[in-house]
Amino acid sequence: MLIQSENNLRVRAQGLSKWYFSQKQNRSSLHELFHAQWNRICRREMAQINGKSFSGPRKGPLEGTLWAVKDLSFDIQKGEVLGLVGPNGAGKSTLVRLLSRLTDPSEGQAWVEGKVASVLEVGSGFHPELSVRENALINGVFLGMRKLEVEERMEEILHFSQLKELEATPVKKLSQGMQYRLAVSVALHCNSDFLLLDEVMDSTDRDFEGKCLERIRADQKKGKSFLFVSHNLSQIELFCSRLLWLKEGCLQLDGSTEQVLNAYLQ
Amino acid sequence: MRTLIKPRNSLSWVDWNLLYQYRDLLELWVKRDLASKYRQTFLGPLWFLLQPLVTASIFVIIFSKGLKVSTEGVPAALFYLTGLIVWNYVSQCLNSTSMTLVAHSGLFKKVFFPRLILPFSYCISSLVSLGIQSGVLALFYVFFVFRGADTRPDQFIFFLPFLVIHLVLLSFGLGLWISALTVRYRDFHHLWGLISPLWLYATPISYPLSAIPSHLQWIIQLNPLTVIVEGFRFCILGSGTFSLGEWVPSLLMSLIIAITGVIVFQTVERNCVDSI
Repeated sequence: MLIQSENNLRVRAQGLSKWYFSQKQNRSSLHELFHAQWNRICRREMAQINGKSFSGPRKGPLEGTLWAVKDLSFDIQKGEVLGLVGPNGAGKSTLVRLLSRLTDPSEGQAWVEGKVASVLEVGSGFHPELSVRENALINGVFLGMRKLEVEERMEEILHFSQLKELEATPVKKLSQGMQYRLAVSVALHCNSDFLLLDEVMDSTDRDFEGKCLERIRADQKKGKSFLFVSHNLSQIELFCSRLLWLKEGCLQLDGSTEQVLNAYLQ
Repeated sequence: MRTLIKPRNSLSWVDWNLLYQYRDLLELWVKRDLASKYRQTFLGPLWFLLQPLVTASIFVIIFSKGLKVSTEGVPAALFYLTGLIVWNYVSQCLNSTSMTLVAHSGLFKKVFFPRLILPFSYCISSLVSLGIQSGVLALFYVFFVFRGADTRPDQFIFFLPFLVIHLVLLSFGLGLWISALTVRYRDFHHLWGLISPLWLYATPISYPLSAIPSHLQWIIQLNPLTVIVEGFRFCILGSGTFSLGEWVPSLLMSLIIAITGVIVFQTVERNCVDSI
């Protein structure tokens, strides 16, 4: 029973935590470094005197450290679209960064079955002087595809983004909305098994949103999973089947979209 | 294929599988770097040529004509040009790789890919300008030989590719070191700005190694670039000295710099997003 359920899992996170030094602890100059080291030594001696074991910064947070996310455990099924909601600073982006492997967790672990791709910002890696087509290629390769794989999908990407006529135009001449469409199109045509989208769909128009939804639903049937962060709650409602509500880095509620949204909006 | 995400506390080495998976990125980034470098410039790739030519002319005027520094019987322009194209490679590589982690912080915060690809791609794209500059050197060579200069390549010329590999290894390693250290302390970027002109004159580029008193030569030879520059001139111009006994220790030193550089870079890169 347990083994069977694990086969259907795309992601499993167990006690995932990340903490940062607050500004004061970020030892950036020589003077501060010495100061911090001196404090550590003093405190270690104090701790030994008191008969307690000293926990260095790797073991857990000292004072002046901030938990960005704390002890998150959850699963994502294959073919599931999971949404993240929560106020600013709740740790949504940190969680996305951890799952995208942009930074290591401080504690806990997670695994992802299959290829991971993530879009955290529209246009990262775009070169303003290069054409739509060239940028789509570079973007696809950044998402972990081979050049050939992107080229195979290029026509589809260009049609999907409605930028076919502009394929030779430098990206700097595109409107913001067009750049959004291009980035999202490349991401949705990526061959990943788990796609993370962090606030990149917030300002798309109704038409394009519908197309994306269609595409996501089709991918879901193939077992592809999505993690979706948005401040646009109607979009969340439309896309996601399950939601995680984060509050101050902790998991407040994990449940169906309806259930979590009802609680969240109160 | 299962990707594990967990804290890593030990030193990191290269994830070859991941690097292989992203191999197309290397090619695209090299092209992008070359294309963007000279876009919106009037002279375009001519800058590749102008820079060493102007410096070599200055060296000819100051060191050869003015200070009468020996060039071991080789036409002064050829002598300086050979050293300078080697130096240019090192300085170009280090200038771009040393800022990798800081200059691309926007990208690193948003996109996952094996970071090592960027510094490596700079070492590759700088090879292109090394190639173009070598072409100019060849033209000058032909010109001087036609005018009757008694300069010809040594039979060691086949050894040149190994010297180029040595050069890439050294620049790559140093670049990784500086870029990893710069993440935490920007001082290292300023330090490199201070050291680079000193290094140019601590390397036998504007003078031959033989011009240094023999009891002081070991100091200059501690500099890993010395053997490379002397080797280039020995192979191409047949001047100076070069032996395997000098080359192998220098190669080992560069190898150690490169390997430790990779380890430091890979270790810093994991969490550099948090501090840049």
